[in-house]
Amino acid sequence: MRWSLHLILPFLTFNFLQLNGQENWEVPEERQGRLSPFEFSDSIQQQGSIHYSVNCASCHGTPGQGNFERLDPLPVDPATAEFQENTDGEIFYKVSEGRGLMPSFKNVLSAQEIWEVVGYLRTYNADYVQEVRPTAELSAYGGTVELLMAHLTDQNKIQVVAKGTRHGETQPIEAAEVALRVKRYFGDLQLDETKFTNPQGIVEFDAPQELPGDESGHLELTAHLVNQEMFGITQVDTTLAVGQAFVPVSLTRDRAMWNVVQKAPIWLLLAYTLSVLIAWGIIFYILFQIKKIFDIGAELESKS
Amino acid sequence: MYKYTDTSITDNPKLDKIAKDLLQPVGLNIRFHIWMGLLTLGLMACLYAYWIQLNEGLIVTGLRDHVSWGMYLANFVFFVAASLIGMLISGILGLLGQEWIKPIARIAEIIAVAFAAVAGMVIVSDMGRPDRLPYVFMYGRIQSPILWDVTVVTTYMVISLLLWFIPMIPDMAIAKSRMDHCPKWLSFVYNILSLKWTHHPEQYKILFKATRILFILVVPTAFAIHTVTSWLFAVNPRAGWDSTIFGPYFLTGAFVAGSAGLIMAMYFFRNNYRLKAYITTEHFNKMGKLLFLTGLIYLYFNINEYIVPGYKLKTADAIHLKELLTGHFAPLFWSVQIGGLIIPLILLLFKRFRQPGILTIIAVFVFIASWFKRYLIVVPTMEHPYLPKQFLPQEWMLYQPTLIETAITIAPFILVLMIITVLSKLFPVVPIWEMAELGEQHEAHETHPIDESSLSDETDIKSHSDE
Ligand code: HEC
Repeated sequence: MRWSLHLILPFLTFNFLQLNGQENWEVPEERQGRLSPFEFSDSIQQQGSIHYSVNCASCHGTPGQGNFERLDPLPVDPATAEFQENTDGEIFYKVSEGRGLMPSFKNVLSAQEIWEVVGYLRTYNADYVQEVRPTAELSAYGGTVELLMAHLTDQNKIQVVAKGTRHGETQPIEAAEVALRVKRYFGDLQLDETKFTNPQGIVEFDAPQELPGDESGHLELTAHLVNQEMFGITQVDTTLAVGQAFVPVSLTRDRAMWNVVQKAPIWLLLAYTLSVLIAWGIIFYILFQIKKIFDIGAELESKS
Repeated sequence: MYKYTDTSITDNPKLDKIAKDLLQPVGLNIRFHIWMGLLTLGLMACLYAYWIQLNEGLIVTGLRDHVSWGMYLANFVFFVAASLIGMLISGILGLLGQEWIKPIARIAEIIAVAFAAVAGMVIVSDMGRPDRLPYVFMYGRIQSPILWDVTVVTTYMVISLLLWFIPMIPDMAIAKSRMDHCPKWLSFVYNILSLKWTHHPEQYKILFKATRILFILVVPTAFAIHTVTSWLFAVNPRAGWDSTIFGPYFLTGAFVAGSAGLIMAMYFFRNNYRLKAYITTEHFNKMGKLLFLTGLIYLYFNINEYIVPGYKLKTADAIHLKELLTGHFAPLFWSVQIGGLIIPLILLLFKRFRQPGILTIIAVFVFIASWFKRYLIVVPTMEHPYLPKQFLPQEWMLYQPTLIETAITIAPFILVLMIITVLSKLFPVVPIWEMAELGEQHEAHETHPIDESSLSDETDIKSHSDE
């Protein structure tokens, strides 16, 4: 008995440690205390609830109902104390980065949208009192920042210009890191690498060559400044005709194996109908022959 | 136009004896009533189980979201398979001019009719809402193999029925004048079914033509019925079903099951109907060889079916094969493959194992193994869907048939036995006129030193001495 315990014990502790390691989701210290740049007003929380039902409810369920998907590890119900123990910064980090089955949302939702979700999730915490990021910390830049986006058709490039207004003076912003993303069905797709603006505040990205857009090739593009500490949440959304024109064809438009019976493939209709007609034609011919046997007998009978 | 009546058959001196031998088991004696009574009792018990299922739904079975095709579907495939023997005997061997099949051809057709007729009902037992069956016809899609299956099973059943009935018309005429001991209504039925048969050559001509056309038609139809049944599985991209050889694989498997079934039926009729002179040891010998041949082809397809995915070992296939070969299906899998295929194949190589008694025992093993083989085709694949199964109740993970489900699975077998009993008790199971004809040929050939084509007329003792 003692022997076996000795053998088992190390395994038990090892397993326990491992499990513990799995459960603990470490968030880098400097991100833990990160705060939302805006107040979680009712309309913000309303927005957040929409993002939540579209992106999160499928796994996390309705908060408070415990009806989350039975995944491994379990997605936590946001209404639980366990979940609400996370600081705003921790939730923001975990949603942005993801881990294992929890997807990373940093390319799906903008920083603004993730904060909106955080705001919504806090409605399930009665004790929560929001701390907003102090205005001084909103952007170290200390002014307003504006991004502009345009399509340079002759070079087929997408140009982003960053301008800042500080102390009543508008200047190009140099050496700011810009990321360009395009909206796709399942989240955003980053185009090219992130790039730094030149002294004129300009950065140019190669326009996508073969990306399907809408019927006239329009793509929904978003450019944002990566350094939030410096510039706050700064982004520009534009629709540009830089993609391939794509007219979607309904998969049920033409005759196909998977379509309704009225749109069955012709060859199949023919093959089926012909086979049935031939087989049953022969069967009826045989029945007719049987009748002939009877007729012969009847005729012979009437003669005798 | 028809001036005379052919008397070659009616004048045949052997006809009297043959007719007497073959009509002697016909009729509803006390044993028939007891047997049918027992079957009816069993059927009532099973119908009660079905009544429960009808009221409470499929939850009373072991079927759940993942395994939604359990024993019922295995049973359906088995029934379609067993019915194929009619085509193999009459269609293929008949067209090849094999004379020896004549005394057993009708038994094969009875099996075909019974199993094909019941197969349709088996599928209904898998439906939670059988009242929606008409929807298959109202809203069925012609693209679905299920619709094709319904079509071919029906067609095959009708052809089998005709193949059973048409060669029996002359027998009806022969029997109606000789059945003094039978009830009035039965001679009435005979009279109708004999269709005023007068053994006129013109009538024979039509009869031969009709059966010949049906022999040709039944071959593609039977191929279609079981190939389409296999497609119900093979059109799904799932491990264990996703195979291009499923059609021929099912077909040969069907011939194995059917041959075994026919051997069992032959043994029963030979002993209980005192037909030793007609269904001879040589017939068993030949059926043993047929079982060997079909079994060998089936083994070959089995090897293909497991080695090719086993070599590539795609993830899902690997899980599936592991379940079968070493997992929790392994005991069943190896019993079926070894006990139901490999050992029978080895034994059938020796003539002494193709004797009636021992061959029938082998056939029983093959027959039962054939049923479980269908189970092994249906269930393990369903237990492993592509999506991961997590945090599910245990009863969802592993399929466990319930008692009610088992009773509902047994019911079709009882129905088949009832149909076979009625058809074989009301009508001669061995064609009288064909036996008389064979006898005649035999006499004409008497001078030949060895004549293998006309074994059926020989007595049991004689064929023993031939060996
Ligand atoms: C595909 C399923 C899935 C989706 C969609 C999903 N999550 Fe998760 N989430 C998980 C899983 C699984 C975990 C646990 C991950 C772990 O512990 O490794 C998790 C963990 C989390 C955590 C960390 C909880 C804690 O206490 O550590 C947060 C916060 C979170 N999710 C928020 C969200 C938000 C907000 C969304 C929507 C924008 C979302 N999740 C969408 C599956 C999902």
